[in-house]
Amino acid sequence: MSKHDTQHSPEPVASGLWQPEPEHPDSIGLRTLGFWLYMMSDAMIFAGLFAAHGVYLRAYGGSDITAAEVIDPAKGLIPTLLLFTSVLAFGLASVALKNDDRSRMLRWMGASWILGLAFLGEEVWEFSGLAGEDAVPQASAFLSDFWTIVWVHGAHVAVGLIWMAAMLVQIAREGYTEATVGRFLNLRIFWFFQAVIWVFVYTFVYLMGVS
Amino acid sequence: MAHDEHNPLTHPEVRNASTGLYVAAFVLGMAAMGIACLVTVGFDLSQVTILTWLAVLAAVASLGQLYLLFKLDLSRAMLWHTVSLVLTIPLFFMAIGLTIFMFHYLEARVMLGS
Repeated sequence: MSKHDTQHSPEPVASGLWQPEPEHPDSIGLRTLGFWLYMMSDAMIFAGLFAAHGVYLRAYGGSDITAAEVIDPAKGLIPTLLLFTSVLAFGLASVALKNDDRSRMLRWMGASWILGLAFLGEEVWEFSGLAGEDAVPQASAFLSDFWTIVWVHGAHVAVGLIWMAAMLVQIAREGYTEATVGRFLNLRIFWFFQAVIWVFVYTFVYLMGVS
Repeated sequence: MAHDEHNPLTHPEVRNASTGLYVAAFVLGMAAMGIACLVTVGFDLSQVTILTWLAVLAAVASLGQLYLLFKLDLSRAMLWHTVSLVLTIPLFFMAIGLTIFMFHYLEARVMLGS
């Protein structure tokens, strides 16, 4: 055996990137960083959809229906307000978590869930109206792109609502454990991210389409 | 990332929650989107002017929300979140811009109706 094999250093590894505190690894921080990186890859899915939108908006179309005919920019502010308010309510739930006020935290998260559901309901109402006017995805390249972008985002919101409902139950039953707080922080990243993506959906899909 | 592991509420990502920052993100986002809507439908501007306004307002709203909601900075807790975002943003816009650029010239050369 070499000297290297038989000797163990009693000193902990010096502070650095991989293992800053060997006795107390930051599992919450590692989880949120891993989930954050997942959200960065999720952003690239939206980059692909926005790229398709940039191509489809003016190049191809098999329908007489134009963006200006199916998009009302002022009405688009309604889902914007609902989603941003839901994100604000979730932020206030985070502040209640910080202050160790579980009942207030659950109330704000419940408010965020209701507002998120209202956002989805508004989207369903808006697109059912489009379907009634034959502005369906099959009608033109632009419409297929419009439906896809809005509903990929809508699918994210739906997943977030399911996740939020599960978190409401978990935190109500288990309280603030390392596991539940870690999941809550990941859900916060996911939910806040939906507001940032909606900024691009509203400006580049709703508004640019009719400009 | 040092914190008391026995109490998850002492984690820095829990402690960075702030009512002021979240309210500011909401106000900034709604104001920017409201102005963007007004610029698009309320004034008789050229398309280039409108697109420039939309790009600037989207940048202000998204970057403002990223900072205010996620509290991205160079602290030890958030450093790698910030770095990964800074490295992803160019990829995001390159994917969009280069695709539109390539299809623009493809359409001019080979597409029907060009």
